[in-house]
Amino acid sequence: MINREQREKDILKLIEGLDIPQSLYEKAIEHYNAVAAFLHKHGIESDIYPQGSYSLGTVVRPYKESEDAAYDLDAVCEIKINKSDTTAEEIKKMVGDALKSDGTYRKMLQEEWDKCWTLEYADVNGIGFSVDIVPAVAEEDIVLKNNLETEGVDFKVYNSQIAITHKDGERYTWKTSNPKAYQNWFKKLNESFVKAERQKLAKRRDGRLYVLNEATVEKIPETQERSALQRVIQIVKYHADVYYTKGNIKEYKSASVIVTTLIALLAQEADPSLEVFPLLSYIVGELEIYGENLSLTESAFAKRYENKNIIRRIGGQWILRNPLNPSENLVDSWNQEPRKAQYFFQWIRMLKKDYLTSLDTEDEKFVAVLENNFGKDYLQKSLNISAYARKDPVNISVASKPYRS
Amino acid sequence: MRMTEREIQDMLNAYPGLTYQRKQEADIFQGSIEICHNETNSNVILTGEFGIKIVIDDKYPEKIPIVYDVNDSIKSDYIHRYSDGELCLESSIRLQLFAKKNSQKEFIDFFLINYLCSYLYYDRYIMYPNGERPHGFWGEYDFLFEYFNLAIDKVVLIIRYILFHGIKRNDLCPCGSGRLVKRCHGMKMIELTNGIKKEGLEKIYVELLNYMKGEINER
Repeated sequence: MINREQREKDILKLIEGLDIPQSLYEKAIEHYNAVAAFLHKHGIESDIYPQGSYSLGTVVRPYKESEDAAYDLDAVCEIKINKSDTTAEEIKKMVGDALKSDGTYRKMLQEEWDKCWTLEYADVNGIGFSVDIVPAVAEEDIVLKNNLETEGVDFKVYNSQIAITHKDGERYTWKTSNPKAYQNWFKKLNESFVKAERQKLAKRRDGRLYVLNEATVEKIPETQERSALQRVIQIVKYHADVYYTKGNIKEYKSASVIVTTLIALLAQEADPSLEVFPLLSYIVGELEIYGENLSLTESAFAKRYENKNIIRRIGGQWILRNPLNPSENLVDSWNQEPRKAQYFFQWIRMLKKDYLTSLDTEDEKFVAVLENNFGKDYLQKSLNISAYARKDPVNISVASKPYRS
Repeated sequence: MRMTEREIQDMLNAYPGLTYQRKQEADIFQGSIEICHNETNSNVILTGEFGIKIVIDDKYPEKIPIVYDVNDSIKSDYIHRYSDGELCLESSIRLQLFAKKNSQKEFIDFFLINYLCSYLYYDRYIMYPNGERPHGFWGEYDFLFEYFNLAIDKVVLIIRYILFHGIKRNDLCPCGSGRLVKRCHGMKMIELTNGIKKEGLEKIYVELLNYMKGEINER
């Protein structure tokens, strides 16, 4: 039987292979810079920057079997116009009209989405590649700022607040967002993990302990550097992608911002020098505890776990505050659709089964778990699979229904 | 019919984790069964290990095999497992029909493996890959809907026809298709009456009538 250490290495290798290639990352930047230059030519001054997983270093290749598998780069297009001098509709259409006026962009442009304009680029290795341009302006709603201040959020945080547009039917409204602050928050939180990773890397390089000197670590482009925290987020996100796609229950999948925020908040309490799997194990363990909210009453949960209040249940409502905007409840969708919460914790159980429990099962089963999550071809391409004892899973199409008299 | 030595050996070869024992006019297989199956409709690979005891009566196929979970490898709150560990593989009519036409090993290959895969899938996704039967009498009935591929009122007509008229090849089919029995549900009816005892069918018919009476009263 292949040992646990090797198995962890193999899972990591598989995940590393799903990382966004540097060339693709650079291409993406090129694309949205081109859009900024194009808008400039049309007299629209803007600042375009990525938000979401691209800006956090947690991008992972989408699950290929998923019919809508695509690398979606989310880019904010912050237009330099005062919010009070314009409307959401004007801003959205300004960008759309400019793109439509160009023969090339017109062909790449999808129908208007609620928050963005989507440009489709040529596929990358059989996977779609698109850039979502999210038109926005700087937020200047002073009332909102005051509100946040009373909630105890640092001024610097809302300094970068923007207003994005939201189209609902024919109506356009503004929505407040703060991707830069989120990115900074995550970056700061991730710093200790990055530092620990560099130290680990230096140790591995020399095979002995010595005075750590960051300069000895070969310069990896920052965009390609992955701390244990970032790896954990990638592992978890990819597992969710496969889990919900295969189960045909994508409508119950929680948004990745929920997953990323939760993991980051939990990781704050963890030792940053942890390796990927111990960190994953810690995070999953914590989430399992929060999952007891499903079966325990609120008071019983509070009694048993005094300090577990990252996810809370109050009056039957799930609450996960956006750390950058405490008035926003990130898991509001769980309250609209309780099965989302149920499946979230069910999926956590399976994440544990697949990537933690299976580390100690027989080779055959472990390989089957990998095959389930990564596909046979990718597995054979990436790993020395012959080192494991193998037995192909038997095909079955379940044709009976359990019963009870 | 008792299993032959050859059949017993085939069973042990197919499930190397099981050991064989002879007890009270039954063949008993006990031990572990491994699942490493790819559910092809969803492409979900299921893995697991179960502690199982299979009791195959010498009167197979009249008596259908009973399967127990012996070391709580199936969660005790799983609804298709009795508290004594017995697994509710399928509707008993379906089990009986299958047993009539297949060997003991084929019975286990099909129902037990399907059941365990179904369980693992449920454990993963809180739903069944191929659905589940309603409890009790409705579960049997649910199978008959599927079996005849007809709605409830038509199935009643078919059972009434079988019980009180007898199946005749050149009758018009009681399902109302306008075709002859032999070209319509005839084969299915014959297979059903050969597969299960008449009392079983009568019981279903009575329960069904009671149910339908209740429906009318409620209206």
